[in-house]
Amino acid sequence: MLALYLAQIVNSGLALGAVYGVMALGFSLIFSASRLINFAQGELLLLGGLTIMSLASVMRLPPAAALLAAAAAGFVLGRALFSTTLGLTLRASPLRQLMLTVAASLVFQGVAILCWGKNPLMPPRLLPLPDLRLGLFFLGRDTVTALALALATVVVLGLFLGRTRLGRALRATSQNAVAARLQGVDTVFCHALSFALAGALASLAALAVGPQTGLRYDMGLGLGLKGFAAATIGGYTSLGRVFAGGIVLGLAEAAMVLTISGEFKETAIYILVILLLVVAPREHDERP
Amino acid sequence: MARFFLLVAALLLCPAAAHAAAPAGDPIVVGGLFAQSGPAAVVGTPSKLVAEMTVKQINDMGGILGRPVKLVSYDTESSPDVALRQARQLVEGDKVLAIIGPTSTGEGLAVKKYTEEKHVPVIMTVGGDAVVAGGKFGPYDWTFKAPQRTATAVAKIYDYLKGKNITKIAVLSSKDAFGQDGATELKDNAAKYGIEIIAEETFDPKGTDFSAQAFKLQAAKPQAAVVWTIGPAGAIAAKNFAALPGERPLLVQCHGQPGPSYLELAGEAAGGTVMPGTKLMAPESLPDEDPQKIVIEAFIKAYKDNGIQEKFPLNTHSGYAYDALTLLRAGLEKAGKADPEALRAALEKLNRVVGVSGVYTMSSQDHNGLGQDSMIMLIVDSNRYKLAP
Repeated sequence: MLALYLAQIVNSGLALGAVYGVMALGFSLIFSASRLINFAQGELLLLGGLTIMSLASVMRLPPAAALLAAAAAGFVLGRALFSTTLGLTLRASPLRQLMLTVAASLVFQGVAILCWGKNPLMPPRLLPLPDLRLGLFFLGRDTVTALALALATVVVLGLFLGRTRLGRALRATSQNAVAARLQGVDTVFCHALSFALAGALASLAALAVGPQTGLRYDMGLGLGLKGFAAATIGGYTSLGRVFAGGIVLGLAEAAMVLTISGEFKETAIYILVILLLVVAPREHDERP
Repeated sequence: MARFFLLVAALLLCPAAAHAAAPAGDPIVVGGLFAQSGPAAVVGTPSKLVAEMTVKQINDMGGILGRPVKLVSYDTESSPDVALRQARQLVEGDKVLAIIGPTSTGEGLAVKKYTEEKHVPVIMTVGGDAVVAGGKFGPYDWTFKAPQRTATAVAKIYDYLKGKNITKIAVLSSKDAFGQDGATELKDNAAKYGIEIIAEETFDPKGTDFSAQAFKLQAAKPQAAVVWTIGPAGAIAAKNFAALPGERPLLVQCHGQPGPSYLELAGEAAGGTVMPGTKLMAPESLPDEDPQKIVIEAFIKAYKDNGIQEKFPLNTHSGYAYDALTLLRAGLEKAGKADPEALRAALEKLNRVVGVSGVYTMSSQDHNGLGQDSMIMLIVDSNRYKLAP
């Protein structure tokens, strides 16, 4: 019985954590390049998912095309988000930049309502990954998809940030924008790129999250809040650790539900986040 | 037929309407509170469209008491605070005679406190019973509600389970007002039906996965699991239960789920789930002598003709705003004058008013007026709702 419970913590934890993890990756991309929490991250996922759904209804999308289309649509959405938020207020106070992303999230919701209506919609499964059952362990295909996408993202983005000139420019911008500019890095371009990449990531995540929960105009905030908590646990800087933060959050939630009760889950999770912020502040202060 | 008699009775009761086909005189102003944005918008927006459609029907048929009806409605944003503010605006600014709505139970409770004080009749379209429960929720002299009580849905479910010799159940409810209302009713009434709740869990209706809760409930080995929530969370729970290995309990959803959304979102996992619903969900199963049949068929036709079906496919909630206005009309006609106190007294005495969701018979204790016979048990079979055997 105990083994069953432990296995279920892993099963449910991964199902929750995979979603939190991919959301957290988007937060950390934008935060590390622009020192900004993007409150419209959940809405990027929403609009990306809805766009792909509409595209899939008019043409056949094989898996590779779906991935490409999602990435492209998300890239454009993210870039548009940049133009309407940070791009307008590069020199403004961070608070104003933050408020603009909150405003953008509401505008995105409005767009979702105007174009797709208020009913929850079920996007088709475009990536044909199977359910995974290994003895006591069971992962639904949406969870498998989310995990696969996240791992691929961590590897690809990791290589991009570590090994390419552009990636290094992005990291330089995040560490010290002024110094980067003095070295000839186009920091505005780097900010825009981080938004576009975060958009692409959110759109890809929608391929996994959409078929799991359905897409509805008001889903963004719920997802965003958990992704934000996960990114905080992961410390924002390393992609691998940020994704792990999502998994840890998911496992903690599942363990809470299974051992005690779901009743105090949220309270306990946010107390954990606060404690982490207090106990491990260095992670967030290493840059000026 | 029943509707025809109702109309004849109405015409006899109000001489003005009998003489003049077109309503004349000052309009009777009715307030409408509908959640057109926020989480309850999926129910609130079509409610508003149905209310507008019904008001037009009423005016085309000569209005109420010979006077035209004017609907002034606001968007409550699914928020109790906003709903309360707008109830104030309706009463103090727009000087409405009565209010229909709001959409969610939380909004209803906020509005009720104020309208009870101001003596404004309100016919709510909320799911939860708290608004007409009395006791710790305060008096409900001026408050009525059109949708079935939670207790009615619970009784319907328990009767069905008893018929299937199911006595051990688990309950999974959402942490919002609607879910907790359901959980309370399920617990309070279980003993009466010889049913034992052996496990209980809650979840956040905005969550993405409830497999941990589902597993924990399954581990207690119930014969049936009752899920009490509104919106997409019900479908997620169905999928989570379906993915569990081993022997699964019979999945029962609440009366908030029946509709095309649940089928679409839960997909295969919806198959075999049972739930109570209004007769609107299976009109073809109604016998000809059912008094609701003619009303439901006319309603479905109007719903399609007005283009609401395209945007919001018919679900179990679709008729509530129609019923609220039907009750209002019947009440005013019984009262014989557009006066709040007379309307309140008349509403309490309504007898066998046929609506889409059921046949209403109110009393001073019962401000809902619907019994178990207004609901049917549905089962999902090959992606359709059918009468549960």
